[in-house]
Amino acid sequence: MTDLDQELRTLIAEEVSTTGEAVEADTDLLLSGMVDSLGVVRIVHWLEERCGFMVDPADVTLENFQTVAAIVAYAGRRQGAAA
Amino acid sequence: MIHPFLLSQLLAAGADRDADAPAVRSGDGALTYGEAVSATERLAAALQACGVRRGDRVGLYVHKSVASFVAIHAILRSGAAYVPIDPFAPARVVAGIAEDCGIEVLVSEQRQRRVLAELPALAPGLRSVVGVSDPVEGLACVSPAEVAAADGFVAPKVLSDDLAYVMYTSGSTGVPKGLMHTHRSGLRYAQLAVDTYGVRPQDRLANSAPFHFDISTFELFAGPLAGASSLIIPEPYLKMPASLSQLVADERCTFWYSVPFLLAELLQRGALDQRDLTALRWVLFGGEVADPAVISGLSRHLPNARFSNSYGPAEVNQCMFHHLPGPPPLGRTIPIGRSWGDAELLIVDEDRRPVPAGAVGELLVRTSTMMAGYWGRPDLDARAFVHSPLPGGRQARWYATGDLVRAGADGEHEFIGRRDHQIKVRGNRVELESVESVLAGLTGVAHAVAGVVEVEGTTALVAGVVADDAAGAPDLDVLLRQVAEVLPPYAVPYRLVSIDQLPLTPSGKIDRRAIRGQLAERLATQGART
Repeated sequence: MTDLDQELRTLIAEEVSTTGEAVEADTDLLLSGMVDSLGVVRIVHWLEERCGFMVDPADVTLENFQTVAAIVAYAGRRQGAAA
Repeated sequence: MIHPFLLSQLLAAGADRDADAPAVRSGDGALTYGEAVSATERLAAALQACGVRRGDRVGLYVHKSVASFVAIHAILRSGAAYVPIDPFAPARVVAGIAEDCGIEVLVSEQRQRRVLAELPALAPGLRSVVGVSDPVEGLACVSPAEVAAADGFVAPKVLSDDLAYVMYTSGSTGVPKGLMHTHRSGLRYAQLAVDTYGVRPQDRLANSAPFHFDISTFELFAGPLAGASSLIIPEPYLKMPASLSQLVADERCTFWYSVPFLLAELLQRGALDQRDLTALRWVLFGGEVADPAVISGLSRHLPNARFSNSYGPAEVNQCMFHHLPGPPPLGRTIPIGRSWGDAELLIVDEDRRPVPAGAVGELLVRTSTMMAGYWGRPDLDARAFVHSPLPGGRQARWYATGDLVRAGADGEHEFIGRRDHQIKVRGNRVELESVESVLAGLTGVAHAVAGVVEVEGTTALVAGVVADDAAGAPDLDVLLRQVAEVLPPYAVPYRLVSIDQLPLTPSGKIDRRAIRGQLAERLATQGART
């Protein structure tokens, strides 16, 4: 899962955020202003392509998407459930 | 029984009616009206100790919370006007507003410390910041603990014509302009809103609009005027529709008021089929054109809600309303409605003469909820206000909205478009020229042009830059970061693309119609950043 963690941090820092700040696993993506609602959609679409599963809109919650660590954990649960 | 005639009396009037009734709730707790009055007076005392006096402007640079609601009412209670600043705005934007508005005292929070540290160098007029635990070099600081211990509040003399708030909005030259509203115009708006929508003490109002956005005055002032309670929704929820819909369902909110963009988000991604939103009885929307399909789709999930379109530039608060009789027919625009309250509406041609019935023209408005003017900008006042004689020879001051509308035979109005190049990005007003002028001022850019493009199933601001040949191709990522340092977040383009030249009309003006297609095509071919 460390690959996913690193890829997500790169995606957000380079393609989503305009703040130019580094993204840590526990950075609050929403409160920091790094990610807006369009950014959330981008991350979801990227995740679907990267991990090969569809994300139910009901899963796109603060619990699952507020930090990179939360997204990685969510992806892990989804992939664990599929295995 | 207190009959409030000032915005600063609303919480006290609510406490007088029922001190134990819930007033406000958010991620950081909840307050009854009685508790809200005490909290407000403690902060107002702290502000007075900082030297805040009647007529001053106090900045507000905080995220959504109970504390932010208290701060707004405390600033008003101290006799000052509040100046709300986007909590995500960068230091240069905060400093620009502070300097323009003569702000000496800022209410903020520990979380904003990084930006606050930059302010003394950028805004030399700023003296104090209230609400931070750790000191900020160059500013007199008052901690939350000191605010909690503050006492000795002395109610200042405040009059209806005193300034209550100054809201900054995009200006065409890149310099934001501050709209001034008085206690009179603000309270009049609240009274009309309570009457029109029948707000009652048992209502729970969901506040989604940022405080620097004018429709937030519905929950801030109409809620307390009715003795209702307001749910101040923390910003992260607004980016997560499924969490937002869960919160509104759990809190049994009865009123929702937002820009249509957020309604579309809720419909598309809010998992509404899994939510119980039966408590919602009113859904108000305004600030930009709503898609009938979104309203129609939402109405299926909200069995008990009535829908109402509210229209009015922030300069007049609101001047029209349209209660939807049922799900709107698709393929037809939703009317912006008929005159609201005492609003007088006049539709004029380019020579400012009334147009024939049913013709399209610019809307002029005069109403008691109208702003006092733009802060420190008599030049803008002169352009925005039109003096025109009323029947009987009386001179009247009308606000020229810049909106093109048409009146139907039934008195309902239809929004046609803009006279200028102002656009709406998720309800936020953006003057395209302001984005373009900032970009064109950066090194490596010869020309810039901005437009709205469809992205990820929604619309977003995109700008094209023509490179300055002498400097070589500019790094678009670097340019975007530079723009993000000086423009408020909503005006920062989602993407920059490079274009070879500006599309021009035969007469040599920028061809705004051709731009959209060109930007969309460039976005598709140039794709992701870097």
